Amino acid sequence: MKGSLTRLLKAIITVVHLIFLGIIVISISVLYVNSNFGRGITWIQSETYTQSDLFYNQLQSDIIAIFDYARLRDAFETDGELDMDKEILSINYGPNTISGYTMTDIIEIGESYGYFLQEDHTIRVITSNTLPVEEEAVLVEYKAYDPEPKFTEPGQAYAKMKDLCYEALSNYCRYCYVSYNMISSPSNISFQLTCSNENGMIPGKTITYTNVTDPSWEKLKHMGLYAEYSASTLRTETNMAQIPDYIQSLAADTQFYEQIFEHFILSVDTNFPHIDSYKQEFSHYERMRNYTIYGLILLGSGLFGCLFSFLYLAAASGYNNSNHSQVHLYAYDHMSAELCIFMFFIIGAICCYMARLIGSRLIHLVIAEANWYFAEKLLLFLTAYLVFLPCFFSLLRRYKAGTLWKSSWTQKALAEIQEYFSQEVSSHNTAYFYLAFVMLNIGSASTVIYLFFTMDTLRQQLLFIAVILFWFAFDFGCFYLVLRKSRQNDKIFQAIANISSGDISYSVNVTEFSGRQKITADHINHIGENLDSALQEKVKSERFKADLITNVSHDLKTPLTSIINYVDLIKREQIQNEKVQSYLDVLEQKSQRLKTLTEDLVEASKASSGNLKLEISDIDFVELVNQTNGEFEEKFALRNLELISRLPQSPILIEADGRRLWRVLENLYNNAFKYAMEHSRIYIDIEEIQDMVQFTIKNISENPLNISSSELTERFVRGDVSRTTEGSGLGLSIAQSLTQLQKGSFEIVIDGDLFKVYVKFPVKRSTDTGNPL
Amino acid sequence: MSTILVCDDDKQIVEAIDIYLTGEGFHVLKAYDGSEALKLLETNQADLLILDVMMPGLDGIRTTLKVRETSSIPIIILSAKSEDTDKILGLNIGADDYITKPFNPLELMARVKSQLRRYTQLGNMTQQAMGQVYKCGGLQINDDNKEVLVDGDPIKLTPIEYNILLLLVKNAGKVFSIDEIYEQIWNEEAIGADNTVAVHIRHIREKIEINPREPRYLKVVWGVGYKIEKQ
Repeated sequence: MKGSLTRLLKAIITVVHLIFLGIIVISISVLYVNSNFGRGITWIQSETYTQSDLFYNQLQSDIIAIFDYARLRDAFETDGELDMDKEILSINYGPNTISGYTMTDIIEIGESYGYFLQEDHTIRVITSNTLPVEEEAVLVEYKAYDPEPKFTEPGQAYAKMKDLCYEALSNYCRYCYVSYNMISSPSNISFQLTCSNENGMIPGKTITYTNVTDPSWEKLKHMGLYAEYSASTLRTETNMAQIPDYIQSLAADTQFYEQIFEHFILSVDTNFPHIDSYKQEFSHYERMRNYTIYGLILLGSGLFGCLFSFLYLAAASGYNNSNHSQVHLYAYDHMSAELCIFMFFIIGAICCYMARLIGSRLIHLVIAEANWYFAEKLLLFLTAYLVFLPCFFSLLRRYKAGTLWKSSWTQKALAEIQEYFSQEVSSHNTAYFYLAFVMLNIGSASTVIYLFFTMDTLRQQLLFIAVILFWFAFDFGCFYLVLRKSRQNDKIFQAIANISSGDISYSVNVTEFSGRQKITADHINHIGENLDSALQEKVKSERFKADLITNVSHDLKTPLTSIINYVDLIKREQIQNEKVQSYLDVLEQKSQRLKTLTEDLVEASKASSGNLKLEISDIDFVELVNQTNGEFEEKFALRNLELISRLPQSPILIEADGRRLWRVLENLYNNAFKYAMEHSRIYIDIEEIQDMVQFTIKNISENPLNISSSELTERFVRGDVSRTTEGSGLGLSIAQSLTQLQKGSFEIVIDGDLFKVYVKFPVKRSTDTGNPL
Repeated sequence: MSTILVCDDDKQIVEAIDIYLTGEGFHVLKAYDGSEALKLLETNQADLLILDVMMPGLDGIRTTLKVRETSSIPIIILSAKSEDTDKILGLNIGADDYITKPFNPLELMARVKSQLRRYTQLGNMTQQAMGQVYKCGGLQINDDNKEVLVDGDPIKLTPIEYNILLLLVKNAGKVFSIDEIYEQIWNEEAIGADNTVAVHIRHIREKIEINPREPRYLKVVWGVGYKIEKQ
């Protein structure tokens, strides 16, 4: 529910973003198409039409036109009226052959050259397809628009008829511009140009060119802008922002028909009551100004909206609910970042191509040619942006999910390189090394063969020798490297073998190694050190344990002494009570059991921790068994046990501590005595098996042996779970420990009720007689 | 009537030993640490000293050393320390016997009597030098009348046992293997030695030793043979 709401919101925001994007596009178009494009924005605040360059350019061309009018009026007019039949041009075609041309003639001739006069007093040139006929220049006798030509070179009096025609037509147009636009029709501009006649020398004889009938200048000045220039003051008086300085130079040039410039005044009615070019320009200017302002506002709001909707989408992208707990990735978000960028790049390229192919056709249908380029650019930009957007959000989602770097190929490549350089993978190293070796060898070999067949000059021979030397040096270097690594490996192998065989304090000299072998050697040394310290720790703790048990057992013995003694004293009191007697028996039995326990406990702990001093000497194992048999024969008879021993006749020497070995046998015999079934036989065997002497004791257990042989040697474990009989339960454990301390082996085998113990010792082979002593 | 000084920091043990010894007719002096024992010895005539090792103040070992400076009375060390090294140390510094706790009261009595006999009869024994007499510590064999005395008490042995013991005592300190003993006693070659000799040895030990498991005279050299300790 919440998720779908978020999705809906996101969709809305996306649409909003696109709308704002459209607004930006429209505003940019408005600003771009605007005639004020390229002027910045400060003019909007500071400028009105009458302050604009547009106005002044128009004004300047108008003023120039007024001066031209003043120059040309008499050429085209007769008595204040335009006279089309007035002779404008006369050409001398030869002696006494002078032709005069009126304006009507010139217009006709001009049309034959492809010059057509337009309604708005401009010349339209239509170039014909026919090849222009090479025309001879003619001698110009007289030009009405240029009555006093000043020639500096002889050829200047000649001109082609076509050029003359164009000249006359353009002068006519200049004249008409002012005559029609400012004088015949009402104009927002009012002017008066006054000149004096130099020839007459009569004061007050002035010629005035004006479009006002009643020039009340004070009134005109107040209607708007004005400019006044007088030959007497030589300075332009104006209220315009840009002072029209050029009037001065125009006035200086105005010396035609013996006329001398006197005074020029011009005013512009800034209310623009008449429809003329100023009015048109004014309204166009105002419209464009408004467009610019609207365009800027639209651009600002579009950018603002775009930015904020983009930021919202960026923040919300990847999250399906409002608590932003989990990033939801789309299918294409799982591919690697580079692939994603590449894919969008391809899509973008295709879209841009399609936009150019189809979009431009549509643009050409709708938009004026002047703006095609701009519109196409805008379209391409839009397309690219719309493709970029999902790509960007995909990358953003990856970043949020933390997979941007992890899933990228760059990361994988870097990891691969890192792994290679950290030399974690020995096989890679070897493979690259071998490849380099093979390639260099092939390269060297082919170079040598090539050089051998093309060897001509001394330089090539020297090169040949150098390559061979390099080849040998390289191969020898490789051989040396491989050999060195192998030797280091051998040393490492030796070290591992030593440590594994028990010499844990063995350490390798790390300085002899390099690279990977050095690291391995370091590790081996660490293993050795750790093992050594662990072992010392173990020995220490075992010793501590043994000491603890010894001390505890000492402390137990003192009170136990009193118990045993006083139980004995009570017994001596001869109490005539059977119950008391039976209780005393229990006490005596248990205190005796406690006594053996404390003694065996010390012995067991010492034997198992190896904390015993052995007195190793050569002893005859057969003799020892015989002695033991003698010790136990009568004891066995108590339980009707028959001792059957098969012993070799000759002595078998072993290296052992006689007393400890006797303790082993005593414990085994005692074990047999306690647990063998009554009236059964106990078998004792001694065999020599290769270099070992094996002692075997076998008996039938009275109780079923539902216990594993390894459990039997664990301390305090006994064949009978009830633990009523005497003994500490440590006998077999002590026997095993003591045997192992004397470098013998101790094995218990249980086969049904048959209980077997094998004790093995290495036989000592003396070079002298087998006699012990 | 002999006087015996018992010294142990555990009063109950001293009490128990007192009861046993008094029951046997001895006069008992009681001390609870080493210095107390030394003071009693200065003022009283004691024939035997039973001494614990681990005591506060002056311990048993140092007390023994002090006593040995002035006196040669028998000293029996009674200790919870049962290690071989402890026993060797005790016997080396001048103690005559070493009994580990917990002890068998009968064994203690026997050892006390044995030590006393040897101490008191040492004088007149030397005078009885007649005929073939072999001596080894408290063990004495008169080959003329085939009499065996242990600490002065006559012991009954079978002829074979007697011969074995005589062989060992004659060659005190030498170790005899089972085969050697068999050949010497039975005058036959020992083919496939069995445990006959071992059984006899055990019987002898049971007769002449107070504690056959810890023999004083007839010692077993395990895996080698038997010998009489030279004293």
